[in-house]
Amino acid sequence: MDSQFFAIRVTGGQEENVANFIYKNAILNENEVYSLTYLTSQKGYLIVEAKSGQDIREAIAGIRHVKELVPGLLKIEDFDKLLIKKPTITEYSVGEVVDIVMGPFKGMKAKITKIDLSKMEVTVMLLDAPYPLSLTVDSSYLKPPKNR
Amino acid sequence: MPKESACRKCKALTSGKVCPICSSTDLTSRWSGLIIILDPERSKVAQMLNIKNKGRYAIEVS
Repeated sequence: MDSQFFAIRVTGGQEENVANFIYKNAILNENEVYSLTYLTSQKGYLIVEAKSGQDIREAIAGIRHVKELVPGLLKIEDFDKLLIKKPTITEYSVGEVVDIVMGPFKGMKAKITKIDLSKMEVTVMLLDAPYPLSLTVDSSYLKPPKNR
Repeated sequence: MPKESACRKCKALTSGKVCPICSSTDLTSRWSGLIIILDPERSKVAQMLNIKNKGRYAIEVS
């Protein structure tokens, strides 16, 4: 039989703790729970993949911060796009003009001269500076221009 | 409990300095989201993400 996806409503901020408790419970009770997922965009909810609702009810029994097992089933298509997230650095390319959104150079435009994927750092040349100024920043400091 | 680190290659979470899955030392403390795989063979999530081992994984690693 295929696995089924259920949502569990939990206390906000306790999602990871609850997931860890369900994980331990499911192993102890030998419930057929296959995976637990916490999406940061869905605060207060956990997605549990299991053979049946009964397996989940047993695994969540007695765990604090679990509010309810949401009635109904989820499909993997409902949340699969939220599971695969590409790091923002892969969106950039050398030569592209970007906006700096953090740090002392916030608000300036810069041209990308080098991308270091292993360190998630980008070297840029400031365009608004009166003289050529090169700096290496974290990719989170940059934002693609709006008219991309 | 100290915050765990995530492997940049396979996204596995560990409290050590080496990834328990791929033995990489390229770890980061900047991660978000959580997937716990209990049965990689039967889990559709594990199959979709090509996860072959049980364990805890981050969804987003930076």
